[in-house]
Amino acid sequence: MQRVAIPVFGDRISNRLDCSENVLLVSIENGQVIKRDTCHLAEIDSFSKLGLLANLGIDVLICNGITEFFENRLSDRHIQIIPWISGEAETILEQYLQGTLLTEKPSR
Amino acid sequence: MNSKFYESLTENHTNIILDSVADGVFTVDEDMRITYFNRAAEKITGITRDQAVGQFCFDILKANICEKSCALRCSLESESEVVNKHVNILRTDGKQIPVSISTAVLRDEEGNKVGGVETLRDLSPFEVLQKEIRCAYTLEDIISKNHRIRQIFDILPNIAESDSTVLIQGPSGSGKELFARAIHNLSPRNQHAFIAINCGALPDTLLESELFGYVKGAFTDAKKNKPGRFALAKGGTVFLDEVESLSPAMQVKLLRVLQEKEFEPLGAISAVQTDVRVIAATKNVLSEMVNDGTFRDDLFFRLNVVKLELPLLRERRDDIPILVEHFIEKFNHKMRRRIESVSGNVLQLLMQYDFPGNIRELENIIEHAFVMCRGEIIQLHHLPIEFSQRKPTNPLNQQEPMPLQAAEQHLLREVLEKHDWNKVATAKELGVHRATLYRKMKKHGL
Repeated sequence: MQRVAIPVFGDRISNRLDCSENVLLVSIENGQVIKRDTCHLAEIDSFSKLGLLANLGIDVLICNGITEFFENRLSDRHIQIIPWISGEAETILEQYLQGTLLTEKPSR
Repeated sequence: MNSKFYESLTENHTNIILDSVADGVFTVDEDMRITYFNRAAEKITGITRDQAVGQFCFDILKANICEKSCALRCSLESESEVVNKHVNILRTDGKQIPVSISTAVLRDEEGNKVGGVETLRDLSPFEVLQKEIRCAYTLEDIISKNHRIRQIFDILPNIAESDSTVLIQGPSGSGKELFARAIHNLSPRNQHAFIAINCGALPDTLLESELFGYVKGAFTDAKKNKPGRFALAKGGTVFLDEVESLSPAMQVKLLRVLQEKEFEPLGAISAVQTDVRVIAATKNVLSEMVNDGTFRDDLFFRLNVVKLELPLLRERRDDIPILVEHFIEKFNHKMRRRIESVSGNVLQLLMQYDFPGNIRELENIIEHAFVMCRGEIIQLHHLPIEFSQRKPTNPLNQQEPMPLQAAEQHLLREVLEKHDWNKVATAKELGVHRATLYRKMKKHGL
C-alpha cells in the first residue's frame, strides 16, 4: 500500500506547501484508491506543519511550491516529493495513478 | 495637452514604460488570471512573461497570503486599494523572497471593473540588514546540506518545543548563537526576549551584576535598581556563550538559577523567581573540564540536558560551496553589488583549506574579496594575501576529469546517503571492510 499526500486549496492543489491548510491523504493499492482522508493544518505554524507531514507516514507528496528547507527535510525522511505541480487535485491524482504526472517546475 | 499625450500612448508605449520601472507589475482579469507581466516581475519571481500570462496569479506568485487573505482579491471585492503590504513569495528555486505589494482595481473607459493590478517591490536587501539587526534567525537561515547538520535539523523543532536546558558544543565560528536563536525563535518563548551574554568577555563581578542585576545602594555607584539579564529575559531565553569561562563562584550561582529557578540581585535581601530557558554554549568539551576539576559536575549535568554538537567547517566541506553562494548573496544585498560567483580556482582553494576560524572565517574571506573585486567573479588575487599565495594543487577546470580523490569522496557520499549512513550496508555495497570505510570517511571529512 502506498500513502500519497496532496495539499489542497478548494478543489485545486495548494500553491504552497508551507501555507497549505488542508492535505488530502490517499491510500493506494494496486493502482486503486482504497481510502481517502483529509488532514487539517490550519492554525499550525510552518515548522509544526513540517513535523506533522513528516509523521503522517506518507510515501509520496505531490505539491506545488515547496521551500528548499521543506524539500530537504521531507526528503531526509525518505518521502518522495513530486513538486511544482499545479491544477485540480483530482486531475492530478488521476494522472499520478496513470503514471502520466510530470513536474512543471519552470526553469529559472 | 495632458489628455492628448495620454491618447497618443499606444499599448506598445505602455509596455515599454512598465518594463522600464524597477517594481514588478502584473495585471489580472476578474478570474485572477494574469493578463500582463512586466520585466521586473519576471526578475523578482524568476518566471517569464510567457509562462505567467494566462495562469492563475496564485500559481505564479506563490505568496504566503494567497490562500487566506489575497490582497488582490480583496481589492477586487471591496474595490479598494491595498498599499505596501509585506508578504513573501516563493521562487522556483525554493527560496522565499520578501516583497511589498500594492493592489488596485482596473477599470475600462466606462468605469466598469475589468480586473486588478498588483505591484511588487523586492525587499531582500532590507531583509538581510533587518535580520542582522534583529537577529530574527530561524532554522531556514542555517545553510547546510551536511548529514550531521541535517540530523540536528530533524531534532531541533522537538528541542525548541521542550523547555529543557540546551548545551551547544562547537568550535568558534561554527554558528552556536545562530542555532541558539533558531531554537528560541521556534520555541513557545519566541514572543519574549532572547538575551545573549558572553561569559568569557566580562570579569566576575561585572558578570554577576550583568546576569542578576543589582539593587540601589548595593555598591557606591548603584544609584538605582538595575535589572540583570535573567530579569530582562523573563519568559524568554538566556544564551550563555563561553560558559566554560565561568569562575567557580559564578558556576555555583548559575547552578542555583537552574536548580531553584531563582537568583539574588547584588545587594538584595531576598531571591527573585525567574522564568527563563537557558541555552549554554561552549567551545570546550565540558565533560573533560569536569574530569580536570575545572568545571562543576552538578552544573555540567544541569546544562547537559540536551546537547548539540556542531562540527568544524572542515568536517562539513560539502557545505562550503553553498555557504560561499549564501555569503555572495548576502554581501550583494548589503553592499549593493552584483558578484555572481567565485572562480573554479578559488573554490578549489577554499575546499582544501582547513578553516581554523570555521564559518566566520569563510564569511570574512568572502567579505574581503567583495572589497577587492570589481568584476563579477571573485578571483584568486581578490582573496586575502595568505590565500592568494596558496596554489591549488589541482585547479578546477570543467574540461578536466574529476580528480580521483574527489571522485572517491563523491562515491562514498552517494552510497552512504543511499543507505541512510548505515556503515555496514555501505561497506558491503562498496566491497570494503568496515574499518577501511571508517578510514576513508575520516580522510574525506565525512
